[in-house]
Amino acid sequence: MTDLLGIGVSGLLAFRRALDTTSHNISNVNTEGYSRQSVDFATRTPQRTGIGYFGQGVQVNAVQRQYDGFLTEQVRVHTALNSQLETYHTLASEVDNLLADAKAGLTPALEEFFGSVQDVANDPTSAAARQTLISVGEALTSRFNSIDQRFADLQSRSNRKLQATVDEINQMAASLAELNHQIVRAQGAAGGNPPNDLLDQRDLLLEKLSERVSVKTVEQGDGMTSVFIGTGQALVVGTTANSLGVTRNQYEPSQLDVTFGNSNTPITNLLTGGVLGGIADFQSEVLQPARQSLGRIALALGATFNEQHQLGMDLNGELGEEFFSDLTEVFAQPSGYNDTGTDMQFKAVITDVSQVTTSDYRLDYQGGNYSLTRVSDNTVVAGPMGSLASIPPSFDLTGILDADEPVGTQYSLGQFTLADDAGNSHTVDISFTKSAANTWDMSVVLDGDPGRYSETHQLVFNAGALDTIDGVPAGAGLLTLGTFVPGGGASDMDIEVDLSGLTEPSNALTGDTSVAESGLTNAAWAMEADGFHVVLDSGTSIANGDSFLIRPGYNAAREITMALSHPDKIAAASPVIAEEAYPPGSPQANVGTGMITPATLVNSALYQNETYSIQAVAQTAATADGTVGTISDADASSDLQYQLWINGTQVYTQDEADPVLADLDALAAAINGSPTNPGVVAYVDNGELFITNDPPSNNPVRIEERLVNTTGALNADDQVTGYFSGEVLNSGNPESDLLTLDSVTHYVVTDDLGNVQQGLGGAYDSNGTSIAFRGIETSLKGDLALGDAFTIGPNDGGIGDNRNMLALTDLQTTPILDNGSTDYQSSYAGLVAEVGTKTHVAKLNYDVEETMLDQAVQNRDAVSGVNLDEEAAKLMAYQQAYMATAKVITAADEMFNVLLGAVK
Amino acid sequence: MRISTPYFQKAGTQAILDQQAEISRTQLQLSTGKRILAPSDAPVDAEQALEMHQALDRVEQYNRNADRADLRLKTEEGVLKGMETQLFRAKELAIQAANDTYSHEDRQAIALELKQILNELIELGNATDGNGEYLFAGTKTTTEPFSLDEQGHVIYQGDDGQRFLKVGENRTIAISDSGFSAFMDLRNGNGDFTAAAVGGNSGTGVIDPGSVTDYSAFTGEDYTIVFTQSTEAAVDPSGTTIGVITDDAVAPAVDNDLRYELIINGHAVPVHDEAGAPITDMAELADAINGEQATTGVVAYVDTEGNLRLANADNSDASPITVQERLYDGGGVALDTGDSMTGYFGGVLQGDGTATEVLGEELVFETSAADSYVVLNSASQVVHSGEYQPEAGIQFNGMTTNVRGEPGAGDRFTIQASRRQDLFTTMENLIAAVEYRVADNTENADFRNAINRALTDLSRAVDKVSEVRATVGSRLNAVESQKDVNEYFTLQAKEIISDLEDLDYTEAISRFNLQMVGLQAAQQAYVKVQGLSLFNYIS
Repeated sequence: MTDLLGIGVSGLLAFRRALDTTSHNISNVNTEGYSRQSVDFATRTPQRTGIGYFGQGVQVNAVQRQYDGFLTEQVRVHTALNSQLETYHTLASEVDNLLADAKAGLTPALEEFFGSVQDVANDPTSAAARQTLISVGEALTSRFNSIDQRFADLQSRSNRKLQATVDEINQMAASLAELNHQIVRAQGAAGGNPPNDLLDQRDLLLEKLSERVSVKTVEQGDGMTSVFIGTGQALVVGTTANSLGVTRNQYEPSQLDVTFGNSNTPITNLLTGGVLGGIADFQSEVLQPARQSLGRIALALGATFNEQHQLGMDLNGELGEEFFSDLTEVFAQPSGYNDTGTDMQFKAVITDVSQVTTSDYRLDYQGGNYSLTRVSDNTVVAGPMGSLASIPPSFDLTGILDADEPVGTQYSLGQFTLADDAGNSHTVDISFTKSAANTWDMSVVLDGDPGRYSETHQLVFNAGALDTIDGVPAGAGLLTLGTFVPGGGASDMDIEVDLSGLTEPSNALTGDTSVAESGLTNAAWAMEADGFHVVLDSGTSIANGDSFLIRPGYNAAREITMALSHPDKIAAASPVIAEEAYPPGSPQANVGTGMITPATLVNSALYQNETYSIQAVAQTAATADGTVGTISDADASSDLQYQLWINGTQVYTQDEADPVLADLDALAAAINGSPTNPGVVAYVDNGELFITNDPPSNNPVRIEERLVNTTGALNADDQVTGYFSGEVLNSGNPESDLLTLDSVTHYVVTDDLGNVQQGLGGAYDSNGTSIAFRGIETSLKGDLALGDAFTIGPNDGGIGDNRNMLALTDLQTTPILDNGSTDYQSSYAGLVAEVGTKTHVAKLNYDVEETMLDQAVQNRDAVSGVNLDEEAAKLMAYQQAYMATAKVITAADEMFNVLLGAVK
Repeated sequence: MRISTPYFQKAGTQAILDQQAEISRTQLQLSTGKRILAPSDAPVDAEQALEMHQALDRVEQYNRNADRADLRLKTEEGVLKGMETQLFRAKELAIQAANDTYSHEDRQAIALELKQILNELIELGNATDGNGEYLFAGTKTTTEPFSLDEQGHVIYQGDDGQRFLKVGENRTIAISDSGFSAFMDLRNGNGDFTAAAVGGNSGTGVIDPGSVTDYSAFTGEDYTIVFTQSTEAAVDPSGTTIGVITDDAVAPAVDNDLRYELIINGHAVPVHDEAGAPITDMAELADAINGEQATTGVVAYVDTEGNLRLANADNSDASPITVQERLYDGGGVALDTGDSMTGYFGGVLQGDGTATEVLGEELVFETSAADSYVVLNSASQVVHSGEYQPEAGIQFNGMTTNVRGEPGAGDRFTIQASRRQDLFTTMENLIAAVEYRVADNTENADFRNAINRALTDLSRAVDKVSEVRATVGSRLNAVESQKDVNEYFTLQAKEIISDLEDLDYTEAISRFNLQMVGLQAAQQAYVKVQGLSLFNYIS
C-alpha cells in the first residue's frame, strides 16, 4: 500500500517538476538567451524481492538545458562578423553619401573654379572676373577643408565609438569573470548540477561580447569559460578579467588604438570582428585612403596650379606668386615610441606630384641606417643609407687642415661636380666663408677658373646640369674646393661652405668622398621615392629603432588655402614676349619672312627678367688656334703683311713679326676693336665666329684676306693661311681671297647690352628651330635675312595677354596624377567609385552575413528555443500524467479504505 | 526541424521589415527620379555619371566662351569692314588722282580726303571692344595701339600677341589679331618685289609694278635697271686690228710716244699708249672709261652681249654724252703720216705730218633716246641687258616689268624684293604722291611712278585687310561649328547621364506594386500564422 502511495507520490512530485519546468519554459519564451529546459525522468531504484525487482516509481534526475555548444559558438562567430560588417557598412555609407553629394562634393567646386579660371582667360583685364576667381578659389579650398572636416568628424565619431565599445567590453569581461565565479559556486552547491540559467546568462553575455569583438572561448573542467580575443589575448581567465585600453596612435594622435592590459602596444590590427573590427577596417580601408586620395588631389592641384601660376605675369607686371598655399613640405610624424633623446626632425619635400601615391611611408632608423618603407605594400622604397641630407646642406671644414702643413703646400680638399641629381632647374646662391682667425689663403676653383673665385656665387642649374656660374655659361660644372695655399703663420682652417641657397631639396653636390672622413658630409639627396625626398630638417640625435611616418597628401585637403588674395595678383599673362626687334618701316626692320612664335616661360627659376635679342647671322669658317695666320717669308726681310678687309675696309693688319691671333675671341676682338671697323660686329658662339652688320642690315658682309709685301712683290714661297678662308695665300695662288656672307645659317642670342650669350645660339633651320634658354622657350621658322633680329623680353604692358590663364585652364583636363594618367576630377571620380564599391561590397557581405547569422540563430534555436505549441503539448501530457498519478493515490486511498472497512 | 516560437515571430517580423525597406527605397527612387541614390548603388555607373557631369559642365563653359568669342570676333569683323571700305575709297581716289586731266588743285582736294581716310583708319585701328580693351593692341589691350610720333608718322605701340579662347575640349580660337600682324606686317610692291624709279630721272619713263612669272628663277634680290646708250665700240680679241698703234718709223724710230685717249664730254680719258698692248677685252675699255667717271660724269657698262654701253652717272643729268677719239704724240711733235690706229669706237686715226693730234668724229648720244638698258645686281655686276623696246617689257630672273615713256640714258629704276611696309606708311606715301606738284613731263613721270607704286602698295593693304577679315570670318564659322559640336556633345552627354542615373519609371512602378503585394502578403501571413497556437485549444 505504501508502495503504491510512494510510487504515486513520486509520480506526482516528478510531474509537478515537469510541469514547473514547462511553465518555466513558457514564461521564458521571450527571455533573451534562454535555453529551454527539460526534466530527466528516471525510474526509482526498484525493490528487490525474491521474485524479482519491483519498480518504485519515478524520480527526476536533473533539469536539463537544451543546448549545443557548437551551434552557440556558430552564433557567436556570425554575430561578430555581422556586427563588424554592419559597423563598417554604416560608417562607409556616410563617406559614400558625403562624396557623391551633388552640392557638398568636390566636383561642383572644381567645376566652378575652373569655369572662373576660363572667365579670367576670356577677359584677363576684368576686375570682376578676377575677383570672382579669388572668391571661387576660396570656395574651392574651403570645400576641400570641409570635406576633410567631415572625414575628421567621422574619425572622431569612430574614436568615440571605439572608446565606448572598449568600455563595454571591459564591463562584460568583468561580468563574465563574476559569472564564472557564481557558476562554480552554484554548481558546487547543487552537487555538480549545472546552474542552467547562469549558463544561459554567460552564453548571452558572450554573444553580446561577440557583437563588439570576435572571441574564442575555452571551457574549463570546473564549469568556467575562458575568453580570448585577437591572437590569443586572454580577456577572461577563470574568475579574472583583463581590460582593454585606448591609446593615441603612435604617429597620428587623432586616431585611437586599442591596447591590452597594462601594455601600451596597440593591438588594433590584431582584433577582428565585432564593432572594433568594423571600426578598424573602416579606418584602414575607407577613411584613411579617402583622406589620402582627397588630400592628394588638393596637393596636386596646389602644386601644379602654383607652378603654372608662377610662370605667369600679374597685372602689376610681376611674376606670379603662389596661388594656393604651398603644401609640398610634409613633416614626418615621429612615433610616440621614439627614444626620448631623439631630436631629429625630418620632412618630406614633394617634387613630383604625379608620382605621389595614397600610401603612408615609414622612415626607420635601424642599425645606423635609414630606410623608407611604403606602408601600403610594405616595400622598402629607399635606403638603407647612413645619413640623410639636411636643409641647408653645409660643409663644415673646421680643423681639416693641419697647421703644421708647410708654407706653400697646395692642399686639395677634393673635387665636386655641381649637379642637380633630381634634374631640376633653379638658381642657387652659394657662399664660401672662412673664419677671420685663419690666415690661410683660400682658393675655390669654380669650373677650372680660379679667377672666378669670390665669396658668393650664383649657380643656375638647368635640368640638373650646371648652366651658368655668375651668369657665365659653365663648362663641366666642376667645383674644386681647396688648393689652399698657406700664406705663413698657419693656423687651423675654419671654412664653411654655405649652401643655404639650396632650398630645393633635390640639389646635390656629389663628388669625392675622401673629404668626408675629414668631417665633410657628402650631402646627397638620395632618400627619394614616389615623387618626394626625405631630408633632415633639424636636430642631431636619433636612436636605434626610431621611426617616423610620412603621409604625403594626408593633410593637404585640410591645409589647403588661398595664398593669393588680391585680384591683381592673378597671373593671367605670360611674362615674356617675342617680337621683331624693330618695327616694320624702321630702317633696321627685318627683311626676311621668318616668324617667331610667342615665347613662353617654362622655368621661373632660370628666368632673369632681361631682354634678349636673337640675331640671324651667317656662319664663317674662321679658325684661330695659335697656328693659323703664321706668315712665312721666303727671305729674311720681315716685310710681309696679312690684311683683313671687311666690306672694303682694312680692319686688321698683322705684320710678319706680329704674333698670330690666339683664338677666335682674339679675332673677334681684333675686328670689333678696329678703329676702321666699317660697321660690323663679330661674335663667337659655340666655337664659331659670326659677323653681322651693325646697325643691322641685310647687306652681305664681304670679307677679304690679303697677303702683301710692303716693299715690293711677293716671292714665290711667301705665304700665309688666312683665318677666314683657310686658303694658302701666296704669289702662286691668288694673293687675296674674297668671301661673301649673305645667307643666314645660325642665330646668336645677345643680352640687352649686346653681349653674346655664349652657348645659347645654334644652327638655324628655316623649317623650324626651337630655341630655349634661361627658362624661356620659343621657336623660329621661315626665311631669315642677314641681320634680322627678334627680341624676347618682359611682356611689359601685356595685361591683355591670357596665355598663362589658358595654360592654367588646361590643367583641368591634363592627366597629372598616377604618373600622368589621371586629372583631378577623374581622380575624384575614382575616389567616389572606390568608396562606392567598398560600400557596395560591404552591403553585399553584410546581407550575406545576416542570412548566415539568421541561419545560425535558427539552428541554435531549433535546439534551445522554446516552442509554445510543444510546451502546450507537454503541459497537457504532464497534466494527464499528473492526473493519472493522482488516480494512483486515489486507488491507494480506496484500497486503504477497503482494508479499513474490512477490519471494522 | 523545430522552430522556436520567438524565432518564428522574429523571422516573420524581419520579413515585413525587409519588405518595408525595399518599398521605402523604391519610393525614394520614384520621388527623386534617380536610379542611383548613393554611389555604392552602382559604383561604376556613378563614376561614369560623375565624369559625364564634369564634361557637361566644361562644355557649358566652352559654350559661354564661344558666345564671347563670337561677340568679340563680330566686333573685329565690323571694324575690319570699315577699314576695307575706307581703303576702297582711297584706291578709288588714287585712281582718280592719277588722271592726267586733274589739276594740282584737284589733287590737293583728293589729298585732303585721303588724309581724312588715314585719320579714319587710325581711329579704326584704335577701336575698342565693349570692355574698353583695344582690339588691335595685341596683348597690350590698355595701350592705344596707333599713335603719331613727332614726325607725324604712325607708330604701333601694341605687341604681336593674340588672345585665344577655349571653345571646345581640344579647340582654341584666336579672338583677336594684333595690329602688328593686321596692319603693320604688310609687304609692299606686288608682294614679291617693288619696282620704283630712282629720284631725279631725266627721262619720262614710268615703270610698271611688274610681277613674278617664274618663281623658280626668282631670286628675291635687289636689282637696278639702268638705261643706257648703245655704242658701236668694239675690241679685237686677237689684238691685231683694233687699237693697234702703228708708229711710222721716221727717226727717231719707234719712240713709243704715241698715245690714244677718249674725250668724253670734253674730258680726256687716257686709254693706252704705244707701248701698251691693245685692249682685247671690252671690260678693260669700260674700266678705263669708268676710271675717269668723276670728271666725265659718264659710266660705261658691258652688257651681257659684250657690247659697251654708256650712261650719265648722274641720272638727273639730261645732257647728251659726247665721245671723241684722239691719237697724239706725247712728245708734242707732229704726227707722221704713217702714224695710225683704228679706234675702239670705230674711228680711223691717221697722222697728216703736220698736226700733233688727230681727232675722230665726235659721237653724240642723246639722252632722250635711251635705247638699251642693263640690269645690275647689288654688287654692280650686269646680270641682264637688252634693247629697250617699250612694248616688249623687261624680263629677267623670273620677273617681268616694263618701263613706258621715254627713259633717258642714265635713268635708273630699282627692283627690290618686297619689304615690310605698314598700311599707314602706304597711305602716307599715297598722300605724298598725290600732293606732288607736276610741272613738266619729267615730273609727271615721277608723279606716275610714285602714284603707281603707292597704288600697288595700297592693293596689298586692301588684300591684307580683306585677308584678315576673311580669317575672322572663318573663325566665326569655326566658333559656330564648335558650338554645334558642343551642342551635340551636350545632347549625347545628357542622354548618357540619363541612362546612367535616371530611373526607369515603368520598371520602378511595377517593382513598387510587386513589393506592395509582397508586403501585404507577409503581413497577412504573419497575422494568420501567429493566430495558430495550441493554447487556443486548451480549455
